[in-house]
Amino acid sequence: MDQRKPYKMKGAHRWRLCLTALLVLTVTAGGIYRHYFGKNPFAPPNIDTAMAPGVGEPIHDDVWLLSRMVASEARGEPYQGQVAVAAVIVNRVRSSKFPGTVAGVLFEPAAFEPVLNGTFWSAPVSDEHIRAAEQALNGWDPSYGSLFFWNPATASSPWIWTRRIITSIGEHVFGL
Amino acid sequence: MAGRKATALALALLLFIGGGWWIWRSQNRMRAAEYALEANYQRAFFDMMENMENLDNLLGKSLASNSRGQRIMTLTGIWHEAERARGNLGNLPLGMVNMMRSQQYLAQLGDYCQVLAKMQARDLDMDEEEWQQLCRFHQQTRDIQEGLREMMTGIKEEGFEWRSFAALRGDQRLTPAGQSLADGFGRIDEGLRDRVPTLTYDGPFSDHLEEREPMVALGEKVTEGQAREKALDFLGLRDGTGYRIEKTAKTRGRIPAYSIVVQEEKDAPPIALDISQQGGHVLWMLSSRIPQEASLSQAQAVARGKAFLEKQGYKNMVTTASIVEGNQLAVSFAHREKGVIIYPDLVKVTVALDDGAIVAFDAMGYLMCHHRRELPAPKLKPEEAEKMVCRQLEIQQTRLAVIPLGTLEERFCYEVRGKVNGDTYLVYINAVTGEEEELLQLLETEAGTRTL
Repeated sequence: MDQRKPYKMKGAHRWRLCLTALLVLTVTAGGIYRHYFGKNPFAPPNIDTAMAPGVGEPIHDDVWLLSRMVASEARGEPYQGQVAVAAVIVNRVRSSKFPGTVAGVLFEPAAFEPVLNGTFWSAPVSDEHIRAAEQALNGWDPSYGSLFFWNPATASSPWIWTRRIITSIGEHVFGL
Repeated sequence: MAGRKATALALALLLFIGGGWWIWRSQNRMRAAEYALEANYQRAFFDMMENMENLDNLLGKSLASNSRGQRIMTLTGIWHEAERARGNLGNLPLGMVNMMRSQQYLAQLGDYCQVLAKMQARDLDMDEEEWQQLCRFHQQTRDIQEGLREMMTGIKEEGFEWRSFAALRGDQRLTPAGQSLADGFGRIDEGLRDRVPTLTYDGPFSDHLEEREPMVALGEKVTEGQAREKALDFLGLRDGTGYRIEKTAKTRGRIPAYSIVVQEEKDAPPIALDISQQGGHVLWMLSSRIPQEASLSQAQAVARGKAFLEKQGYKNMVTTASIVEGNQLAVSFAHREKGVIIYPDLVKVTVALDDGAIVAFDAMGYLMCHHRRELPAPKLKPEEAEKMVCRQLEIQQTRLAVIPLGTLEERFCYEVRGKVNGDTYLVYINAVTGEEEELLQLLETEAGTRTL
């Protein structure tokens, strides 16, 4: 009777061995892949060569940052809504109530969700987003000086509703 | 048998060690990142403390000083220090506390002192009112500093970590130390609620600029139907049949408007435009069509833009700047009155370089600023103005212009355009007093011109 038991154990053993080996292999391979070929979340997915900065043209940096904001915050919004989102950032830069640079406004701690969850860096930027950013920097402002925008369906802060609403475009409400 | 067991054991051990090492390494990395973040926040806080101390000190000095040179130094010092304090405050993870009043306080303090410094540089002394305002700023800065000092003591005693603020999500509770810190900042901001008087002065952050309204009456109220007609007229679609108006909404901006979206056919890119409720002016228009391969020259595009403006009733407009972006050309036009360029009366047009269509339009600047101006006769002759500019400037052109000063004020100037060291500049010499009012650098590239 002892003859059969080890045989059975052996079969089970083989399976366990195989499984463990597979697991180790997967984890190791996964680790190696991630280390060497994994996507760096900070690497911009597509750098438009047309936006390569010209010498002494600081505005290109702002277009780059703003188009990223438009791509991550106003994806799928109507074009004037995208311009309005970029315009809110420009309005904040000009306002006394917010930091005085585009980067200062965008990277203010906890100011914008995409910066917190990384989609700011990973959202693909299209020609339309770049165009919207340029238009806002050129002074177009469908938000009429708004300093805030929020999505009524997902806004979690009750404070945001104390703002004076100026207009609403697509999914966003714009206010002062 | 035993060999297999040993192999399995070895594998398990390897997995255990490997996994353990991996966890240990990620933990280490995470901690390093957290400490780096914490260091950044602590730096911002301690630097802000120092900024406030310096502000206190500089404000005291500018009150005590009687030398013009000394005062200019301390006042510009305040401006720089206040801007730095503002930057540091903006770096603190205070998402749950609203610090907008403090931001505004610091911005206005710096701005105000910069304006005072400019006045001192022009030999204008402070009047009693301005002296009192500096005193008020001094007292308020002290109060804020005191509040910060209290918090600093708390931080040193209880070992507060700023990053716990940054990691806060939604309905999570603050630790007691965090709560007292948040309350402290809340108190500082709340304390500024009533004590910041409405400050009207000559700087870009002055309170009177936030509530600005159009300088002239825009006209009679128009109905929604009239606004729709105006929109179609503007887009040249009156007798076309394919268009449809997608939606109309109302906005409550500086100029209340009807928002209209027009689509020429079913799948055509929509065009959005706002028509003012008073007078039915087109405030702005944005077409979502992305222009393709350029076939027009810049000069042709500018001509298209100008012709379009004339058709819309904007007469006497001159091109002031243009820049190619992608396959479109953004052109700025300013009004010209009796040979004087009126820069504040600004209309912007974007022309598609593929078919010459107008893809964007903006008349907000014009509608907010345009009014009847009583321009005085210039006291200076052009040659006299040219003598007022920097010796090294190789003058190319001199003309009369009205320029905005970033506040609601305007200045009647000679615009002297010239080169220094290979770069082009626009120098604005007041046509009445001869004062140098503004200096702009002109950036000329193949794509067009921009001013800095």
